[in-house]
Amino acid sequence: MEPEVQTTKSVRNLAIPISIVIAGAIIGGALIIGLRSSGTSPVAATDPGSQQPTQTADITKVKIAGEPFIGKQDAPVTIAYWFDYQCPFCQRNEEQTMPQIVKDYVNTGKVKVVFKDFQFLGPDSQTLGKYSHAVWETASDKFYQWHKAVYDNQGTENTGWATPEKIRSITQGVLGAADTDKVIALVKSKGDAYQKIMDADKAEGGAMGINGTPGTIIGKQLVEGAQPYSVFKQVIDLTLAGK
Amino acid sequence: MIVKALQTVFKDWRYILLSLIASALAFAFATWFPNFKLLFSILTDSLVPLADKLMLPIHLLGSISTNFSALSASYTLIIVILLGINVSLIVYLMRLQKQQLPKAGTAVGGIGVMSGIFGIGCAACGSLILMSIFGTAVGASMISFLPLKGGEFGILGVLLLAAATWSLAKRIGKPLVCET
Repeated sequence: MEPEVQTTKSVRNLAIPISIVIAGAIIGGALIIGLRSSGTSPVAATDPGSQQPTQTADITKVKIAGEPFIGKQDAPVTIAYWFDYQCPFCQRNEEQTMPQIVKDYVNTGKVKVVFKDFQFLGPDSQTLGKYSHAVWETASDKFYQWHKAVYDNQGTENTGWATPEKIRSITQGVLGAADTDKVIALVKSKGDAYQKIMDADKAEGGAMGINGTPGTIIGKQLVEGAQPYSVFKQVIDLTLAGK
Repeated sequence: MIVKALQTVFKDWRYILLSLIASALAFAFATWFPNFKLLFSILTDSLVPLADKLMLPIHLLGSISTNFSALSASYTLIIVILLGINVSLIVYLMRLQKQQLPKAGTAVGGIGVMSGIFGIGCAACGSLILMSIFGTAVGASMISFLPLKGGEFGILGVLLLAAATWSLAKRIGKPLVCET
């Protein structure tokens, strides 16, 4: 009788550690599945701008030429940043994280940030994406100021908030009246060409595993979502150290 | 009855520890989820200093304040807490009923957790689970039809986990009698 009681007791004492191990295994399994899915996530055929990830994140393979950027042209580290003008998390990224990256890394010549389109949330995103390219073409030195001004004035998603009047007002506030007219004229004459660039940017991001916005590639690392500055700082520092 | 059952279970510090561990794991899962690949890459890179390997997972926990909306952060925290409580209640019942898994409560809790996982980060401009499963275009379309942009999954998760907690607590509080 005694040994039986002891066996039952020891089994009961093991219940909690066993449960912890099982919970760990479940989380671990989910982690592995998550890893696999993030590397091979399917993209719907209905979306002409997206494609199945075909390559790993690598900044050396990202098309940089002709894209809007801030920082020194030959900065040791390049960040490719996919964004949508309607995404509230991109807005948060612009308000909380980007100013610190600009202050600590862009202004000190260590980092160049390249702006890549992932305008997928709706027509307002597409409209603003086209304007952003026109602004870059008209006054590249004021691009980032304009980009920030758009996020400062971001409206509710897909309500048609990006009206011509609102965009004119934002653009005029940053570029002045004369350049604003140039920007509007460029969007009219080169809208289709800008759309092609935007579609190519989005497809390129999708191929490297970007599923949504904000999405960032630093070196060979893909940082998804609006992460705290400390995450970006760590990845940037590691990339700088590897140079 | 629920309070009494919770008191019965959590008077043993080991159940408090179990709940804390389960909740911590679930919280880490929720905040690390978008960046498992980044974590894996840094943790397995032999050139990355140990301090960086230790700090990145900690830094990513901060995404609860940057990568979650107020709604999704709220239901994620509630799901994490309820999940921890549920794990302890299930283990307590298993020990009470000689290792037999309490089916009803566990099933409801499991569905609740799954639903909560679908809700994680749905508000983060579609960067997470639905996008991974259905792709960007379909995932974004699905979310746009939902009034809370995917937050529905999280709220459903909270409700199901609350129901599971109630069901398990009810069984714990129930006297051990032979039923006809």
